[in-house]
Amino acid sequence: MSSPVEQRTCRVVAEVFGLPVDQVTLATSQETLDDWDSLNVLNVLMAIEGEFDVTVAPEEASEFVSVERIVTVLRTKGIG
Amino acid sequence: MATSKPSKPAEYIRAAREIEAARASEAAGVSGAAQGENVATLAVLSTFTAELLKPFLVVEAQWLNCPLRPWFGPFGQLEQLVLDDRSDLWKQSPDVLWIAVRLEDVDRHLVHESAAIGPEATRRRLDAMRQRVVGLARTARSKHRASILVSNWIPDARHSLNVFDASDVDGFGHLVAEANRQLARDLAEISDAHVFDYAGIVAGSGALAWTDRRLWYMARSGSSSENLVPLAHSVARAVRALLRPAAKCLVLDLDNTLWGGVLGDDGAAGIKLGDDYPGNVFKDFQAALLGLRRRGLLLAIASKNDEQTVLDMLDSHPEMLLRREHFAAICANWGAKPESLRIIAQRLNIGLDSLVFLDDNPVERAAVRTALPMVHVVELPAEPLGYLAALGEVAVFDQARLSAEDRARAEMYRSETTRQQVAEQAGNVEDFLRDLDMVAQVGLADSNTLERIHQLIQKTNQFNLTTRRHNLDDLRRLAGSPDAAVAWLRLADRYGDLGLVCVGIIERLDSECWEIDTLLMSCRVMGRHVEDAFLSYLAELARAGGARRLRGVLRPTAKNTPVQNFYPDHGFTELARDAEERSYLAELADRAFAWPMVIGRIAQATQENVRV
Repeated sequence: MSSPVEQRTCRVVAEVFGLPVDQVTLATSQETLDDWDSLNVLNVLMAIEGEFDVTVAPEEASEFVSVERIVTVLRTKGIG
Repeated sequence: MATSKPSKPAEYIRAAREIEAARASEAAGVSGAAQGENVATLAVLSTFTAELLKPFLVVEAQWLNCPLRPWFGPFGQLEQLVLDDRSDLWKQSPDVLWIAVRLEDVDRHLVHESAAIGPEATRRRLDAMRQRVVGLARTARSKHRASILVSNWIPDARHSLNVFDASDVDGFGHLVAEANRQLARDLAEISDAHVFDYAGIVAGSGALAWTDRRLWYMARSGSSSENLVPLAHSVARAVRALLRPAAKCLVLDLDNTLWGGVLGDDGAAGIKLGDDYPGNVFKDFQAALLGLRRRGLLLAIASKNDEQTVLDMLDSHPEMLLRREHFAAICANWGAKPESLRIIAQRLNIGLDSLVFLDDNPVERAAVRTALPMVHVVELPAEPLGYLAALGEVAVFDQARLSAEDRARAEMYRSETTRQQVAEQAGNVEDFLRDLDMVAQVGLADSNTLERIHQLIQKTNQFNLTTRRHNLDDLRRLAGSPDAAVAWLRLADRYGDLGLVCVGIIERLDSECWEIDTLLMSCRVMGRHVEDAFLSYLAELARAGGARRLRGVLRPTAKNTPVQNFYPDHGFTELARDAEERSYLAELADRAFAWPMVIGRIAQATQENVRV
């Protein structure tokens, strides 16, 4: 069973890419989604900031290549 | 559509997707040509990453009852799209074209250089930018009937100007304001071309809070994510004003709307209206209503009151700004308000859909909304202090200045022959490219350029023939090898320096053949023959290495479709192909791969020929 922060991250990513939430997992990444381009990374970034009320630094944003890495960044910010 | 407006970015993205899905299913479910007719197309040409606005634009426009399909030209390609009759821009057949060029993008250091170069040189640079957008608007006008919006400018939202900038008659803020005023004059000469008041929106939202430095430097975003909402809202309002008719008549309630208190109970002496609180709130509100009337809006009254009491109040209360003669119709009676609105529309001989209803009482508003859904009902806040702001938010009052000629133009453009005639008068892309005064510098990777080369290799998806993500160690090895070369191209044009925009890696395969391992270009310089110049340079390097043939490799991805015919288009012959890779070959005759005429070339700076 995935943790709440993982579930919320999956849901936000699903919203940004317009996917059913059950199709997004920790393994979802720029390799598995064609739409995961630089523009959508920004959309994910803004959505994550809105969802978790955090600020993501540019260096952290460059880690936004998969759901798992996003969760890792959030953990370093004390979430989850 | 949802009943409340989204607030977070993810909610906008989801709401926009729902709106688009509903449109798609509607279009699929109903046959006939009527479908999709009321969804307008907004084409955006920008020097920043305007695509981020997309979901916000879709949602904000929908909330203004002006369904919108935004389309975004590839970043930074303005002239290419406007000048070419067959460009993707004109294929969209846009209803509105927004030319969004920011000073911070096209001459981004001018704000700092202004004091050093003086007001005349600063003016010249601002003039160059203004002439560029006005030229674009003029050309667009000659080709298409779309309404045109052109953004004006702000000095720079990232930092405040010197505190005494405004004290200097030639201060940068004044020079930018001058440029904005001249832009308004220039656009007034072009039919149905209008200033989009970017400066006003930034000022309204607070210039210093306008940008998000991260989004700016990472992605050239137009604003912070919070400010995408007001920006999209203003664009949607401007578009609505250009495409939809403005309201003709504002129907007003009286008690607790134009004054505080109830006239029938409190008497003319007891109501609140004057120069002290709370009377001053209502007096200012009346002044604003009078202002709307002066701009051509009719005013009318629908009040549950005794008619004679109302007329006495209008004629003789000393603090009233609105008088009997200001109203085109007065309906003071004890009947239902929807009935009064019907009478007013009939008397003024206008449609109910051009009425706006303003009443402090939510029950009356609901009654009108139910009985007459075509009437625009203003959602007044409970607190009169908020009335003025609510009035400012009524988008159906917005009206762009349109001449009779503007309105007739839609007819004119029905004729395809006219369109072709005017197209012939306009400039062409090659002329534009020549006028850009492009100058390229080419060279081999060194310690100064390696970082940028690595970054482009990591992030370029579109114009990237092989999408090989070499790491820094690989790059150092290749740059140091006698059997390989890591090359770059920097570009500048009359508008400024575009930086290092091309990267190529070639490697020796055998004594006579070199292979292009990597060839990529920043997409902001697409459509300018820059890739031809760079290929010419790569061929030169291979020739210098003894090559007589050049092998090209294409690895197709979902994102590099724009370059999948690159090698055949440049005279290469296909050797082999499978699902993952295609290879091509070209002979390196002496004159093969000529440097394009429209790009100048300067020698590599000699400060460092040392390989890393």
